[in-house]
Amino acid sequence: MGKSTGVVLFLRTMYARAYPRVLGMNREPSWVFFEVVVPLINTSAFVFLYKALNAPPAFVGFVVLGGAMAAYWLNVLWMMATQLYWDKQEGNLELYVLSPTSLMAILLGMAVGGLYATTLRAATIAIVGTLIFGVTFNGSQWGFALLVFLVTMVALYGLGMILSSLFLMWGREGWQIALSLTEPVQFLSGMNFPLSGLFNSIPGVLTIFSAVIPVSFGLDALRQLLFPGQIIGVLPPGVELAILGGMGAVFLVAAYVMLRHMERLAKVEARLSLRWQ
Amino acid sequence: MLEAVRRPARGVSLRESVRESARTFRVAVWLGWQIESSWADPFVFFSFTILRPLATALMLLVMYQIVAQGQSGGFFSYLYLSNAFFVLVIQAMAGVVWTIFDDRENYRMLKYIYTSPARKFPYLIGRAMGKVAIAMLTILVLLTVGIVFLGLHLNAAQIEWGWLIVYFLLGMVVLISLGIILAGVGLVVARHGGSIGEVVAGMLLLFSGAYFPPDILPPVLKQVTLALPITYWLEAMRRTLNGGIITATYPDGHGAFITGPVSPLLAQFDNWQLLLILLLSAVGSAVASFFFYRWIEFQAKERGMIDRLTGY
Repeated sequence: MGKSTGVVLFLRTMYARAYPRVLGMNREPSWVFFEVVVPLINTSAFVFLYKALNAPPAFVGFVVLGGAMAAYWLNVLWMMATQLYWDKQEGNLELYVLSPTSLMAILLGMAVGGLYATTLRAATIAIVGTLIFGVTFNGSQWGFALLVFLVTMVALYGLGMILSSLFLMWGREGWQIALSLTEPVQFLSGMNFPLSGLFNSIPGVLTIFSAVIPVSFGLDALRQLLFPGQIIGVLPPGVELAILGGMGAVFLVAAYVMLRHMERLAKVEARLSLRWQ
Repeated sequence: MLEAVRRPARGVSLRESVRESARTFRVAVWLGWQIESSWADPFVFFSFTILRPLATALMLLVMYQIVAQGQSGGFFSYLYLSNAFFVLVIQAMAGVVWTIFDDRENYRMLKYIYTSPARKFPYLIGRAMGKVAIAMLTILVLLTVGIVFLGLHLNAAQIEWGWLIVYFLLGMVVLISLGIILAGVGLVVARHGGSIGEVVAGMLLLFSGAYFPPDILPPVLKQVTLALPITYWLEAMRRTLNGGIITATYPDGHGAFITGPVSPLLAQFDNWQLLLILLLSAVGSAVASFFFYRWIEFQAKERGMIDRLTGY
């Protein structure tokens, strides 16, 4: 195999990092239970809560859509941001740094590999949830909705790369930060309720935190597009799409800068190979 | 320690065995607490610890308030108390099972635990105690926040303390036993199963009537709910803290309002019936967890899974 440089090396690195993740999933089928069946059951709990409260039927759709998007957030958090922590523990991180490729390519490879399982998971939640609970989506603006979804993913995985840079420096501290981001983000992004309901009930400072999470505006825009007339959005979908696009660009650049900066810091403080801290 | 290493593996007296188990438990509790808490100073540690359950409570509050339009009734108490105690369901089960993954894949010391005289069950339970302690602290904070800021109505004079303590302890036996069963499963699945405790807890959200009364479930799911001890434990916790069955006022469909239990199904059980169910569940789950873990541990050893690494 010839020597690769530049874009070819970048793409080959991505392929190489995505490969074990996709193949690993096929070799260890227990993930189907953990990643698909259980989140669906979890989502159902929120559906039944709304049914117990006699909420309007559209709320069930909001929860199902939120459950699907939650899968991506959890993937970013646990299969991407914290992955460098595990790689450090397993001794892979120092090998990544020793290799001629970039961490950005490795993280993008992780993202692609993770998207494979997560899309299956999210699609299963959306399809089965729709069938079981009789959710009716309005597909008249599916193209716009798909664009919003893709731009949300770019921003979300950009944020994941920023978070993963923290693990170059930190060990258990970073792990705890990732842990503590799970439910608070589900709350602040309105995964189980309309974002406008949240913005009307929390202090203004917290709405800024909410807005920085790509899932918030992404989900709000998707709900407005797929359930038109049944939800009051925080902003029109077009504006939310523009904000998400801006966030995506900023997050990707910031991730690049952060990864370089944190890698250097980690080298200076000899933390790249520091395990079990 | 040397004495313990030298003693023969077979033929130890009961007294010696109990002493060794107690020592393993004590060391495991200390180790578990250090792993949980030593990464930050106490304030930061406490802040991060409380963030997740508090966010869940706020999420449920917003969901409730959006639909209930600002009203705060019996259903809110049902929901809030269930959520507070559900923290223990997650942490107790997850605490035990996470020990397997943490020791096997992260610290890579599971094989050394197995080659030491440490007793497995006291070790697993002891390691989980750190998470259990955090969960109990969290429950206290959630109840305080609920009473002070969120309109939760609890009267200390009405709390049935005796029942509360008995139910609580029986529930702990059930939860730890379930955790040991899941830890056994953890021995034979890959690292992505590390969240098995939390995902099973997620399933229990649906099947334990934690967020809604089981009465509204379809008949088959309702039977599943009634077959799970956690359903009765959560009902017992709500009931004893509330000083009786939680009631709510509903429109009767004819312009008037009626008051009744939030869950008529669970209201059928009196305290003694709940006690009997939880007692039988505690004994049954403890025995089942012992034999299941022993069996699956053998399977893991036979397949060389005790020290495998599965990160990808």
